[in-house]
Amino acid sequence: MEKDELVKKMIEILADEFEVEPEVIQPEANIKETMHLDSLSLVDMVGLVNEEFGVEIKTPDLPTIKTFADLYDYVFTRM
Amino acid sequence: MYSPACKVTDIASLIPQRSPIMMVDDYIIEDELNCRSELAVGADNMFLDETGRLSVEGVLEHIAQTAAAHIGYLHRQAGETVTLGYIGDIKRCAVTGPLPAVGTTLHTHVTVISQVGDVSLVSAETSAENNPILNCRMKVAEG
Repeated sequence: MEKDELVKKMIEILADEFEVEPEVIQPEANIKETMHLDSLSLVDMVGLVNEEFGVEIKTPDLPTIKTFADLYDYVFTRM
Repeated sequence: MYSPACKVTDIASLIPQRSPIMMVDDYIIEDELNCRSELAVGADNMFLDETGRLSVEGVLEHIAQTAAAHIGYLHRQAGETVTLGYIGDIKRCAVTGPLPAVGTTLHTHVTVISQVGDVSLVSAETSAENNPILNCRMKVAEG
């Protein structure tokens, strides 16, 4: 999968799961603030990425994933 | 680490519930992410509805106890303290068949989808007499 394709699919599934407009998912936007994630819903995002892309986000890595661009890079380099 | 279909006999050491609220009779670990459990629905079950069938809440409690037992077991295997598990959230819950009557045995398969800190997201499917009756996603928070 090319990175553009990954980004497009990621935006689609995140917007659907967390009920936000796809337009608000911008590369430099903060993930938690944009999707209103709390400690309980964070595990939804991790599960979604695991199921859709086969990439397991390790808990110690989560603090390094602040923006959507960080998330795309993390997933793309591990697919 | 896990022998195939390893049955855990000391469920009471993994979850705090006791009869008549304990909702897991048998707990079988398949691997780190998957387990199965069984529950025979007794006439004294506290989650029976007015028609004598186990309520949706009862099935969900059975799933939650299964998931909590599994998470507790994984902690114990890692040499960590077994903590209490609480239902954090339930999503995509679908009742797909008639709720079980007294005397029916529930069969449940729980899969851990993801874990972040002390919160686990699991998917669960419960069937009875080879008929699926409920599936859902559940978050179990440890406290």
